[in-house]
Amino acid sequence: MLLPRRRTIARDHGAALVRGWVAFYTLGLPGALRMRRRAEIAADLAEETMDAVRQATVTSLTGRRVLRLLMGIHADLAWRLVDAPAMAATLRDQRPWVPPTRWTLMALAVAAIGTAGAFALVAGPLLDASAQSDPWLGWGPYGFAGGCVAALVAIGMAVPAPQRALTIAVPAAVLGTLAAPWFIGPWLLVIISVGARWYESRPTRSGDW
Amino acid sequence: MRRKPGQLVPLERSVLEAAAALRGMGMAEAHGFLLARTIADQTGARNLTAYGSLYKALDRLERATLLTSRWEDPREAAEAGRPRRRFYRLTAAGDAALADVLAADPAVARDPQPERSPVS
Repeated sequence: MLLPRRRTIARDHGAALVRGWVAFYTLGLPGALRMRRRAEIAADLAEETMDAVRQATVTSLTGRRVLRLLMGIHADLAWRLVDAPAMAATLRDQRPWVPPTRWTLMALAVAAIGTAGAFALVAGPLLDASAQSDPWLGWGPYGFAGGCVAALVAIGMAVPAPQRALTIAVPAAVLGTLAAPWFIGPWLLVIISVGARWYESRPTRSGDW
Repeated sequence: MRRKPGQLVPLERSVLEAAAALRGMGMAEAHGFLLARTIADQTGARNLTAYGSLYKALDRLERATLLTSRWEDPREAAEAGRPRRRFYRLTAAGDAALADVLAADPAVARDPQPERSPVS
């Protein structure tokens, strides 16, 4: 059975509210920045609890926490919208480059050869205006060719800049799939190979920042 | 209204004053909650500085190189059975900025004492 004081702390929903709010407004930030803010607030909450126990003010702790939370929401939002993006950019600049594995390189190479071949097959008839309209929607050949070019750009950027490559590869594959749904397999290969490169390039741990 | 570069808002000034006061008491480094508690003690406020305001101010002071920070050794935190603290320390630039502010407004100037021994 919990002691009265202990029971009051266990029922402190204020800390849960603060943690929930911090978890919400740090969503989307780089891991190191997100974990730093969450850990710092968690430490503050723990210190605040110990301080309340020392000063025998545990019963009003939840109310004080909620007040501290509410009074700082404008600052939290300003930090999230103005300060944090600048700090995130600094973090991205500091991120070390991760060399690709041979499996990723092979997947990228296969995707590049397939995409370049598909582009060549479609671009020729487009240039001499002999493209068959049967299997295509009206804009299909152009969409397919555009998707191929964007996918090739993404594959080329996958090794030096995996994050940017993925942001190009996904819309390229969507465009290509809409233009030629029967060609979905190769588009998936583009996504998988660029996605694999992005995944392996992520930092393995958030780090002390 | 956008503030001038290098200008301290009242909370940032309070944080620097609290850090200097704690250093005068032998604590060269202080975590966020301790700074908030010290600010409340110094100003006689009933409530501690809001979480958002405090940590935003600490971030800005650190980016302005007026404070430096480090994480506590995880083993120390584990032994004490609590989350790791992040410790903040006044830099020489922070000392100079605080001295400038106090010189410009001597009526509320406090007397930060020199560092004695680091306590974490």
